[in-house]
Amino acid sequence: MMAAALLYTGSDSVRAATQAQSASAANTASTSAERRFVATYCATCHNARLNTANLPLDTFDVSNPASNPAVWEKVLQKVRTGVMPPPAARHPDPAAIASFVGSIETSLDQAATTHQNPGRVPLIHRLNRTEYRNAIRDLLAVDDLPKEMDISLLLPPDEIGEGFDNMADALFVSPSLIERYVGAARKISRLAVGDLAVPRMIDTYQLSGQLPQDVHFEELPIGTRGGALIRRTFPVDGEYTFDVQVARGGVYDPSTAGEAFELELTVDGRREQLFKEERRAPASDRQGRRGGGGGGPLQARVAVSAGPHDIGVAFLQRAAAPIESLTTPYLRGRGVESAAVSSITISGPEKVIGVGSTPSRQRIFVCYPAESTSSPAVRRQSGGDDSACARRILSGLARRAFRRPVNGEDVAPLMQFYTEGKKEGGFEDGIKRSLERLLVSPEFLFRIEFDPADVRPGALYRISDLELASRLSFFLWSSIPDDELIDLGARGVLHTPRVLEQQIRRMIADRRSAALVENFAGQWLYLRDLVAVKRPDDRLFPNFDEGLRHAMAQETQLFVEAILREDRSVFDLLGANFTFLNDRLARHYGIPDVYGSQFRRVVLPDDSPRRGLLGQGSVLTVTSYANRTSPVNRGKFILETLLSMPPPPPPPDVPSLQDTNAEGRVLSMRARMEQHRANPACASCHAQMDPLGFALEQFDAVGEWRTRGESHDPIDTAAALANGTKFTGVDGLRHVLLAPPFDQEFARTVVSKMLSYALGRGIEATDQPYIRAIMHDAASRRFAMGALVRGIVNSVPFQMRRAQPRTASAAETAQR
Amino acid sequence: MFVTKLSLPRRTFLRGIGATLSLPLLDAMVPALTAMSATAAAPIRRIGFIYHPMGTIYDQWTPAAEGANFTMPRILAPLEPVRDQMLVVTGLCHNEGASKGDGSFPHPRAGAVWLSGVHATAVTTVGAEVRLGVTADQLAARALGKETLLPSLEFALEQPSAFGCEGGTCLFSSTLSWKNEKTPVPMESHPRIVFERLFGQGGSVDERRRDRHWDASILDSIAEDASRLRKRLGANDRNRLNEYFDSVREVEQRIGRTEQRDATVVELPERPTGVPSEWEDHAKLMFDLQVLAFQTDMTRVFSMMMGRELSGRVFKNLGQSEQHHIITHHRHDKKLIEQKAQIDVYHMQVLKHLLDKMQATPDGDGSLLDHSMIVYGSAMGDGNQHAFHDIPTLVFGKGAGKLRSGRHVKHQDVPMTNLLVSLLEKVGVPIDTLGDSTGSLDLG
Repeated sequence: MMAAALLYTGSDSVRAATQAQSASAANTASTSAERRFVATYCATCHNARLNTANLPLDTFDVSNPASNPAVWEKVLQKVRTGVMPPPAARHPDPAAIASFVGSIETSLDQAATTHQNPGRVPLIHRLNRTEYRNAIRDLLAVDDLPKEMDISLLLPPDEIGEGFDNMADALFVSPSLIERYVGAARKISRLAVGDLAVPRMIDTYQLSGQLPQDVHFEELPIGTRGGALIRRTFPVDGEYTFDVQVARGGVYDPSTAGEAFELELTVDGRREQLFKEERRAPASDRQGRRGGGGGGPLQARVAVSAGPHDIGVAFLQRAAAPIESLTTPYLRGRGVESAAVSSITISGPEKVIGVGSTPSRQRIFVCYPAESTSSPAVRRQSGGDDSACARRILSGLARRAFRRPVNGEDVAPLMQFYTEGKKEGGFEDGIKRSLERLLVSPEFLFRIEFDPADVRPGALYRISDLELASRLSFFLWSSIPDDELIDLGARGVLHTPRVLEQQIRRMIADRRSAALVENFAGQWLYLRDLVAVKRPDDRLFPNFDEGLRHAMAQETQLFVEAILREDRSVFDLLGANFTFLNDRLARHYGIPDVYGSQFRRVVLPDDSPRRGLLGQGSVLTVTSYANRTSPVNRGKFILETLLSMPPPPPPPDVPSLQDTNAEGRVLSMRARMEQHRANPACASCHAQMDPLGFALEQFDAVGEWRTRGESHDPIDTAAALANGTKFTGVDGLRHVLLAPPFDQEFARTVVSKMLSYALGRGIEATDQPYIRAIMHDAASRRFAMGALVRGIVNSVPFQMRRAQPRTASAAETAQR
Repeated sequence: MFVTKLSLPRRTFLRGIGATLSLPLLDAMVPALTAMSATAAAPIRRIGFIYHPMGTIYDQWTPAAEGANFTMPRILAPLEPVRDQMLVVTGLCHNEGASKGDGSFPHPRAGAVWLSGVHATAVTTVGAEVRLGVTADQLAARALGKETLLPSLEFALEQPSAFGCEGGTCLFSSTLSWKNEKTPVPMESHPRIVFERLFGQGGSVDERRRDRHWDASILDSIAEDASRLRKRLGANDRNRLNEYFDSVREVEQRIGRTEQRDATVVELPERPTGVPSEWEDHAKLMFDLQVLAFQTDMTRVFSMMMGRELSGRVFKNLGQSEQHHIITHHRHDKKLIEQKAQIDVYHMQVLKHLLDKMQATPDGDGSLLDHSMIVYGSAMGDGNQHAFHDIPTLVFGKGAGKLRSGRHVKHQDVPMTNLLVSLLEKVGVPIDTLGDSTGSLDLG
């Protein structure tokens, strides 16, 4: 089935075949056939008189579809997927459909080849919050900011358009945003350069009460349980205070008298402190409750050097101690006495020792004036050599920040701030102030593309190699280009096929491409909501905890990353025979023999319901309500998100669904949903959505396998498509989606969403020919992810632009 | 890493506020206040707009009798102690929220229409330019914000989320406020950031002044980049860049205004560090900040969302397990109706925190509440049916003597925007029309 799906190339093979013929011959020969097709199968409803769905097809010229691509692309999609004509109407045979679709596609594609239309890409594109954070990381080597400086506090969230938060049109600018940029620039430049006057920061990291702490956590020392690992950048060499709050609960066991919970604090894996919490009889009112009690804070003052460090806090695992036995999970959290970390607070610096040596200082200070030292007294006397060094530092930073070679005019304002700052506090203060200025420069905050001077208004041209470098890096890395890309761009060779191909490979292999999965897949599949929004009802799903939530998110992230990096077929997203699990998630899935908290690749047998995205906890949870599954949501997710076939919105007056039948018996979800079909106002759309959702009903609202539903009836996962195709369960659904025509629609969806994400704009009808071209080229490579990415990068919308037409107001501006 | 967001001792922060409250009104700090305390005839006027999503249970919300002698219906009952500061206006509608044959997207349209009276068209149209219209709060901010550090404050209690925007753009669901037809104003949900907008990053008066000086010179220098970029860029696609430079100028001007005031700035309350994990605590903390902003005359206008349309919040402390949005579609199920009523009662209890605090804060010859108008409502009446008529609307405060409160005023099918036009007029911002308004509303 899988192989068949992969070999099938659907309408694209038709297109290719048709294209082989002489264009004009094809046109004349088929036009009348297309007219007949529309008249016979469409225009009985879609005509000027009835005006069904506002689409009077008899008034549009089918012999020249390129005159109205929006209409004909819509028609193509409906006919290709069998949504139209509707079930009750007269149906064309498959050959007629293939011929009709092939012919219209050919005309549209030929028109797009003759008159290339790259679409409207705004010239000005603000970096969103994620891109800003990554840009700062790559520019200054500052990462894992202290919590006080977390990006979510530095900058406001971005608006979401077309499902993504990197759409140029939705990235607004407001005075409050400017305030935030100015504030963020100050904090970041102080941290990056190092600031002896850094204010004391207090960061409290709260651990969720939903996090089980009787197990080992990945990356913490072996032989420990619970706790947390915090990666954090410390602003200066100095002393910091660590407070650990421990929640206590359970019943004291006299046989443990004299023993203590032992908790270690580590910095980069080295033990700095061992805390002991005596076991004791808890107060009677706390008996049996977890997290009810707690001793005073455990506190240590530790010298930490500037820069990023891993702070670990975890309990020592006493293998012999019965209270921490892994063999009695049913005792977890109740019964026997237990202790868990509830929060870790890092405050400081309490005492500043020095600016230290950090990755960011190494990145910034590529030179240092000979006569200048970090001692303020000596710094004041420092002289001329300073500014040559400052200029060198700032030119380098500006080049990366502006993503292009810089000249004196670019560096002048920075030098001005350097001079002012130096007056105030010496060389380093000068760099600090100029860095602040750099980080609010419009050419850092915005990606601005300029029409070249020698291109006439309205003409089509290829974007510059430097602009291509930026488009590539924001697409694949959600960040600024590195030196290699800027160099290739500046030399004007990036667009040459060999160089471009090599760079795409390099960029995908680079770990920064994880951003493509996080930001593209994370938003396309709503995975961000799994972490940020979803709160399953803990009374109904007591097993759903923070550990599981993060494991679900991690599984999908690693899964999609593997498919991207290993250049696998896009269809593997739905049907791969492997996934990534740790013990927690494997237990949730009922998959045996996975031990330990680290994720590893697990091969899934043919009959595993966990194959592909539709079997993953992340997708199944995010499409459910807090307390139950929603076949409608899941069906809608498949249609809208995976196939780009969104059902129309519900009618304004939604009639009531009955939860119980006439005798008062609770109806099964399915029986309740069947009521949709009884009502014609609902039926036409729900007949498309609900069956897809029913097939997934054996996964509950947190993705656990089940055989009975909310009504305690056995679950029936038999389903049928509107066109009569019957299938059962997730396995059946997967086969339906991996077979024509849906496999093509799925691949098309990935290409078109990814193109939208890459361009930062919505997809329009005029983009469809280029999407078909990408699909066509990728088909021979079994729709490998690399082929899709390359297709997007090489497409007309990605590499071409039309110069702004000259308007009256533009002429006026030019004069001014 | 299994570390979640922090919620921090709100008490610490409130203790800080207490310290501020005990200070006398600082005349020198707010020159306008001096005038105000001297002449009660011209007090500072303030206006606020608070939105609650997805309508209400109208028959448990609506007072039966007109005039002053109505019995408090169940949902309004928590407000009994402040009833003399409350005006109930019934019979208002927001017809521009409903579908016009362009798809039924009641939820995004509800949030959009509430203060604009404009039908959100491009809810899902791919590639269409997002447009709405200026909102009442922003009109007020244009006029009343001239003399304050911030023209207005915008708060929310939820972050934007992509799921459940009912289509392409989530803009319409994540803010109530639009500066003009093309520029939405983002709403802030983090108390720390609201605090920093009002009072900077803390520190001593000297430190803050030094920071402001640098801010001003940076902004000034950026403005110089403008001419360079404008020359290179055609006029067509410059909107975003203009937005940027206009914003830069506005912040620059504001800094100028604060520099004059800083001389007397008080000891500040401690900065709140995290978002409280409980909704109620979060709402109250935001209310506290708003009272502080009014009290120090940092702004005279605010808008706030108690929840966004389609909110997936579950009020577990009310013993509920369904999401707010799901409950509003109660399908006449008694249990769900009861749950929605409980949610709305709870909202009133939390709202009362703001009203009490404003009532208790002296301002010139009266209280803050006496000199303010706070509109509280939703754009839908019956959330179950997405009905845009009979929308629940309350106005609190006496508007510095302009509003006769303590009454129930009945109308029938009058645009909500008529009320907004009247209130803007009372706050000293006369406008001819707003969205679909057909005049001003007679409030008796």
